[in-house]
Amino acid sequence: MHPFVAGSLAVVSLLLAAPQDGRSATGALGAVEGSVLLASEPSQIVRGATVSLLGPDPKVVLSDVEGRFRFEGVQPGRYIATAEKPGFLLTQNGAAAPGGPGVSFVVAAGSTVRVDVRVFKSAAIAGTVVDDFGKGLAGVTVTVLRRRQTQFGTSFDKVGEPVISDTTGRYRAWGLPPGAYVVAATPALSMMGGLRDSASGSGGSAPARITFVPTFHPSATSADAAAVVSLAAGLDLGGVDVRMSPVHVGDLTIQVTSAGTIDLTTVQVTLTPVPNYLETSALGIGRSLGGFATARLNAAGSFVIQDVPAGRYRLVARTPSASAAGSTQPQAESTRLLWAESELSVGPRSENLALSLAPIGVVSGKVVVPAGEELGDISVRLSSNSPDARAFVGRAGPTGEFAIPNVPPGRYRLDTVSKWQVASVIAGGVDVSDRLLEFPSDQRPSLSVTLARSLSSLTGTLQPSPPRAASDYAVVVFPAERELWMAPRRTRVVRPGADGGFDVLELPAGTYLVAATSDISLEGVPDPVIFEGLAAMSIAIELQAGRIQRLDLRAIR
Amino acid sequence: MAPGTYQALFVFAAFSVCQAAGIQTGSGRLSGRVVDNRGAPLAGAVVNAGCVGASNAFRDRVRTDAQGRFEFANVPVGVHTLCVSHGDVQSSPSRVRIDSAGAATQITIRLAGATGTISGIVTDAQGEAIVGARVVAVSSRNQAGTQTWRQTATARTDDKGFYAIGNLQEGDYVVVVVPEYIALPSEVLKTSHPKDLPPGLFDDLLAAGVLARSEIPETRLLPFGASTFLSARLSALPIVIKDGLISAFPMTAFPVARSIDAGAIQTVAAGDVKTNNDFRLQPIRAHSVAGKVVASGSGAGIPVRLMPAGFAAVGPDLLSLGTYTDKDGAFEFPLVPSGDYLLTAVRLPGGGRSAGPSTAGPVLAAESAITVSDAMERQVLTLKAAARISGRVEFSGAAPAPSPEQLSRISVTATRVDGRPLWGGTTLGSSARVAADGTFTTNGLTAGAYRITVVPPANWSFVEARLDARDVSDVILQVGDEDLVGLVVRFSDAPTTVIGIVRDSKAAPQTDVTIGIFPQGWERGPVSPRRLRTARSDADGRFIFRDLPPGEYLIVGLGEVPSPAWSTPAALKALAGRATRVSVRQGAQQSVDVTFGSNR
Repeated sequence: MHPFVAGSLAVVSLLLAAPQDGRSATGALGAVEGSVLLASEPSQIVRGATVSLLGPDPKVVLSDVEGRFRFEGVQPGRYIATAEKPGFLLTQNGAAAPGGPGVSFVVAAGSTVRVDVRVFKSAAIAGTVVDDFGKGLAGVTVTVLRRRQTQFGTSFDKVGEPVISDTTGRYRAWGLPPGAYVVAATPALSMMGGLRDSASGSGGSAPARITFVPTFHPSATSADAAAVVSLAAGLDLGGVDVRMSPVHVGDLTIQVTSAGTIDLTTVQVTLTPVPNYLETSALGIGRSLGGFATARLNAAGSFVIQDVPAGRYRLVARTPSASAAGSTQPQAESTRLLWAESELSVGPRSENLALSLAPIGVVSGKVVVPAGEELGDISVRLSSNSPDARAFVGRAGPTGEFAIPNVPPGRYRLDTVSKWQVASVIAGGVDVSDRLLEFPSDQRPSLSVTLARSLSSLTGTLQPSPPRAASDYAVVVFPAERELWMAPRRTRVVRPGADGGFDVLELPAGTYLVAATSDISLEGVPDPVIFEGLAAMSIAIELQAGRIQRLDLRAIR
Repeated sequence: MAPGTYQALFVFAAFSVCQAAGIQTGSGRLSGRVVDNRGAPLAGAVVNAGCVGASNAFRDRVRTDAQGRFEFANVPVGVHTLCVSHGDVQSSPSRVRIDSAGAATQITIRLAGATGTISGIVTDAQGEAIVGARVVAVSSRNQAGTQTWRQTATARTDDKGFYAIGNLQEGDYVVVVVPEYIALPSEVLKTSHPKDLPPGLFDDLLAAGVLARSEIPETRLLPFGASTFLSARLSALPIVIKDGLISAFPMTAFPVARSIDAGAIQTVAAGDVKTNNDFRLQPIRAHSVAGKVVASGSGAGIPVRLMPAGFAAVGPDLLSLGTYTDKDGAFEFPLVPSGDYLLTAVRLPGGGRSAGPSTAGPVLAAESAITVSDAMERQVLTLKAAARISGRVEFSGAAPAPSPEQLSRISVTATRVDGRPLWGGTTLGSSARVAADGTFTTNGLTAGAYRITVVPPANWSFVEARLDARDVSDVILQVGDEDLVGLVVRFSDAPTTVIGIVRDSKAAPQTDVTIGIFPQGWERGPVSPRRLRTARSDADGRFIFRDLPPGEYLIVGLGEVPSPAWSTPAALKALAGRATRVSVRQGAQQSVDVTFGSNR
């Protein structure tokens, strides 16, 4: 359970405000000065940090040998300061965690604001990669993946550049933010592809055929089965070893059929491990396939892929098209793809799989731009939930119509490539913006995508409950509807300034819950567990399209 | 990043071939053991048969068992190659023969790390780790008395300031910490991220090594006074601010040297790990170096570079400080550590990044040696046309003259001998292609000493390059401000070759032996690289050297894996004792056999 403490809230006033005009006129200037300190030991200064002032008049300086910095000639307004340095994590002033929200401050004309930034050290993971004989493996690529919850479920995202194990098999990955991680070792090329195993095959039987596959700490062959290591800020964690053992390989025979008359030799077959967090589509299978696990069929529509490591795969067969799936190029509607997809497990024995090609659907609809605007160059993009991040793009025509052909079944997130923001996506009379779109079969709904210059905003003040100050709280805004809790555009955490003021900008219209909490670290938001706890002490607020809503909060205790 | 960097290569193969009873299947059995560098069995190594050679060769891959053993059954009669690897440590190919049907061949292959590592820690004057600093291993080579320096490998310090530069071939190295930043006039930049820079400038930063593609997402631009710095988030700016005064870390060769030749040399042997090469960098007062580039036409947007004089001989790879002139031709390096520098500016024809063909126009360049101190005056760099070398090609012999297409494949290159890049850029030399009328012009040579190298067309041999009745192909050529005209490059259809066979003491031909050849009298002066060469014996022990300049030479077997240091003065002195003399005459073939490996 997430440890949070929240004051109860009472709504002091709730009123709709007219959109505000920009910032105040330029008058006399102010200054900001302070020190960069280490969060875990505030007596320790951090020299040579890059300090940024974010706000109406952004600036950058370096901290000096005493850790001090000073910004001169700052236009009045509301600001946040950040500091960063190699080996440390970018931190906002007043933040309780490296990625956490900072405390804004107001620079007034002729005044000097004093602000210290307490930065967090980055964490590191180290260990040794060994083989099944316990011998260190040199030249293994070690990738650190951060486990996160997303709208699509659990995901594992690469953090930083992969590192290569040294001659004794040791590796060290550094510069990591706090979080939950898994560590993957990808074998050197010479360890992949089918090998005979001298250690087996005694007593007359044929030796086993083996290969090496990406292996997760301590010895798992998928990220889901890996041990998760938890890093706090500045932790230097050793002993995260990876033991790579060979796995058996098998042969996979594919038989593809098609209803229409097509040249089956043009069909491309792609075999991808699932889940494929490392983008290692080759896995050494490619040795027999010219570099990638992609094959062409013979005229009878069959193909044998040799030396496939035991495991779970997604197999996709499709006819070629000038603009292949996954490209960001707009696709011509005329090039309809024939597609077949299947998940299967490959074991040490030979497997057979039959696939039947069928046409796949077109997602079409219309884009509506803000009144008085030219349509210009706008594309609609569907991103899939697979970790290989397939994206399908369609460009809007002169009247806003778009068609995205060849979108395989699956779950997708819709966004646009344009200078405006998505205000709504209507399908079957319902707004589905920020929801996952599920295309189970050849049926595809027509989508109406409305764009807006700006979305709704929330502005207000928080009156603290003494002895706490307003900046000791975090204001959390999240959708009332649970299904949207993981939608990135709809959840925010902000910290009120010392004056209690806060702004939450560019939220899509809808019903939101607003809560204030004195647990200001709030790592891992959006997190359903945190929202669950906050929901009970939140107030609901309806944000109308394009309006700024005013909300004043008073903490009761 | 590549999944692995392949280490080279060390193999000791011992052959013992024994005949088994004649089963007439046309194949035999190949078995053996893999051992590590201490001779202990290496379990889990991958033995790759047919790793080199024809695609129809016998191919199979097997992993050794706990005793390091492996076996290939049914190997066709003939010669096969075996490569061994563990992780990404790889052996060079071993050749093994199945003599006859039913033969059983055994082999022991040793897999040992053939490369070395240099490691250490980089801290500042207070002992605090400098994170993300670029540390470069510069190889130091002395060939017959000519010293050269080249960047070979690079690493970055981690969050503890630790660096390790691995995969170093055997040889001598000096380790250098290279402070990285680039200062740009603020007016050039209306952006806060390098990906939004003007495309040419962005490509320049990549080409100059200021920025690696993988770092771009982590890189930002920091306005600083009148200038803007570009800094990768992973590496700290090499700047220290104290009481408002700014100091900077200078380029430093291990341990505290401000020039490459004053750095301590580390000799790396196979498998070495040289630890504790620690730097404690001392910041020194930094000053502004400002000035103006004067050019006919616009002086705007001209790249200006500043290279520490003590490191200029390392050439284009070590980063120099770089900036660009503003619309008035003015430039400024705001924070330059005190010391001696070379200041260069260049305008390349057509605004490109290379000199291009001479027809594109002259290279305009300026170079100035300066000392950076408190009392810096404004520098004025006046661009003027860099020199060219022009001439024509001639062919002698019965063979038909090359076609224009063949002519266009001839290149004539002038390369600086001091290792300094041309006009502060990234190239050491300037190449010209030969036009259909047989003429050529190399472009953009700044004043200095050069060597001429020529790539002849197929089936022709390079004879000489004559300038004012003197052959300059073999000597150092001084280029000043003036163009050099009338260089005549001659080719002949009569090849000049030295051929021979490497034999052991029992007169058996030796394959894969490297042969070195060097001129007699090398100790009397700089030796042209044309006269200091190696060749390798083929499967029948034969070797060949083509187009050696005429003269007296010494030829000697160097071994299967020769040391890169074979041509140092000390090594040449030692080799001279067992070398064979050979006279090379223009257009003639000399035959000489070399004895090597009598103890094999």
